[in-house]
Amino acid sequence: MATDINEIRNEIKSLKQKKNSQLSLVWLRFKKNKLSVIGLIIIAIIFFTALLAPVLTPYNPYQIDMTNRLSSPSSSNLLGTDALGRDVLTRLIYGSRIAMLIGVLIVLFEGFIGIIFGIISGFFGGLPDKIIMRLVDILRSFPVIVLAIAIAGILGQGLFNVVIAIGIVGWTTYTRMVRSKILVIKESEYVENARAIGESTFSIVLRYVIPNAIPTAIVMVCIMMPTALIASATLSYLGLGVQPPLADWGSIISSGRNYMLEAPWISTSAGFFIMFTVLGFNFIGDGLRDALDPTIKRN
Amino acid sequence: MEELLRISELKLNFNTEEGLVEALDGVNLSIKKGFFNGLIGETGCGKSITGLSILKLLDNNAIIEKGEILYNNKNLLGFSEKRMQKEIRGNEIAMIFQDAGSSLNPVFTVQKQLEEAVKMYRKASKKEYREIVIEELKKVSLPDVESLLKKYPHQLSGGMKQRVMIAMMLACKPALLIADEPTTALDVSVQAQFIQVLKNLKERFNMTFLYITHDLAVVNEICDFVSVMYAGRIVEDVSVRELFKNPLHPYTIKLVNSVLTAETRIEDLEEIPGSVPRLINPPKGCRFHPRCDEAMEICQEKIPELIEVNNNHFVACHNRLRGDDFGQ
Repeated sequence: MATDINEIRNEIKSLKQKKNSQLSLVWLRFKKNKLSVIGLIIIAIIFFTALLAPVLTPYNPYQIDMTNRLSSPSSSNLLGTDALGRDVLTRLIYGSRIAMLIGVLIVLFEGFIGIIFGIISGFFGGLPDKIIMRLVDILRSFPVIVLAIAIAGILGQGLFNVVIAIGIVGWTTYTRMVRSKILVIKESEYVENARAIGESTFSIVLRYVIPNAIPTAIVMVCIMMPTALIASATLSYLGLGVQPPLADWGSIISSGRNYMLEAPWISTSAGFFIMFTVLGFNFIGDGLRDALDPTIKRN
Repeated sequence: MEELLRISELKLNFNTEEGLVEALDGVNLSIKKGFFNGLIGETGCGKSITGLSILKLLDNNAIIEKGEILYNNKNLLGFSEKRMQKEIRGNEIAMIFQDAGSSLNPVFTVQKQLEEAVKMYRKASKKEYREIVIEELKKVSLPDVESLLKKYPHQLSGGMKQRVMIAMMLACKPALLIADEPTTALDVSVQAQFIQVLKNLKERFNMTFLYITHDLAVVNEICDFVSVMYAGRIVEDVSVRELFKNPLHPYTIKLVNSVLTAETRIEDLEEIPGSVPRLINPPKGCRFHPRCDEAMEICQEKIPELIEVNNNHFVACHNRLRGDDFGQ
């Protein structure tokens, strides 16, 4: 109990210091979840190494060195080299640039479509809702990766085609989530109240519905980011994604596959990169979901 | 006494999966300008629906069969949604709901909420908006207004939120304020303060209220006139003094006798047998007859009309119409 009260006092104190904004409150709650902070650190490290790749890496990711093929991890090549003698760590760090770029592009693409459809579907209901939701049902009834492969196959390789191939199914998740959130908001007393003082529909959507749906959308983005990363890595593993010699995590795993016995570090370290990034985003997503919802009881 | 709004013969059904719910069956209600008009009755008798139908904020499955809602001699039922929103809601008639806590937009500060309301009706500079907002908050006797402006709804207490709500409504300057059980979610001491705020408003700004509640103690405290509602019909229309002194309808009599005061003991309280009928297949004739001690044959057949039996005292009961027990 005593610690509880102290905690509340601290919260109030820091609230006063930080000018009492919604954002500082969210940060305060987010901070309490240790896993989320770890997630944030992981993603920050990956983000900054990706940003500063040319400064941090002593090697060129495309520099072939046939004299140094498949050498095991050492002080000069921390994660060893691949079949063409390229430094694996360097390639992975450059790969995180592409992973981040693709991840962000996919999430923006599918998030934009999905959230707009979700708002239309949830708020206006009726025929538009029926059409959108049936479209969602149809798209969801395909195995996601098979559909993505088919679309990537039709569109051909390349970064933007990967974004389209994955986003074309991905937006349905946003639509479903945003729609269900908006159905709740629409029935809420503050929307009824807004109508009772004569706010127009447009203004209700703009000022009441969207701001209250934003936390859901933010959490969705954090949760969908790893899905997007895995999907794009899968596509490039299958050779449908980003073109070699561009360094991409999926294609690095794929190229290391033939040397699994002699040089297991190539595929494994790429696998670990993907795993940690996905974990990082998931941790952040969990923390944000709790931090953005003031109704969840904290113990 | 001037009438601000008159509902006549309003019949309203809800189309539900279980069948047609006859929620309002010929409601007649007159709201007198500059007074507190009470609307009382048990849960589910159609009080809130009556309030919502004035603003036309009903769900899509509501069907208005017939009737009129006259406001300044204009029938609101004939207004389009757009016209209701532009001309009536907020600037003529506003409504506060039961749970103020969830009636405020959780992502806006108090200042922003109120500014939004002000902006709909007045153009002013940023500084002026702030001043208007502060002025409105002071009207509802909120302390320490300056520090309140930057707060979010979840940082306020229930009583404060309810007052912020009222301030928001006042900012729209409505002629009629419909309050739907505004004190139900508040504890007793806060209720008393809140009622005082409303009383001050009425006196200072000559506002008209439609006060919907099931709490007779509050009615006694605040209302000037009372309409008693039972199962979608108005059964009695009376001044608040007469309501407690000389109730006429058997339902009203039982309702008044079921109020717990400091003097009554629980054994002396009268209980009304049975419960409000389901309105999918309501009783024929007078809807109260299955629970009424004085029910006669005619009560099962014919709907009693709301008739003036004394000066400004209306009642809808076959027994009272025969005039054999006036003033009981």
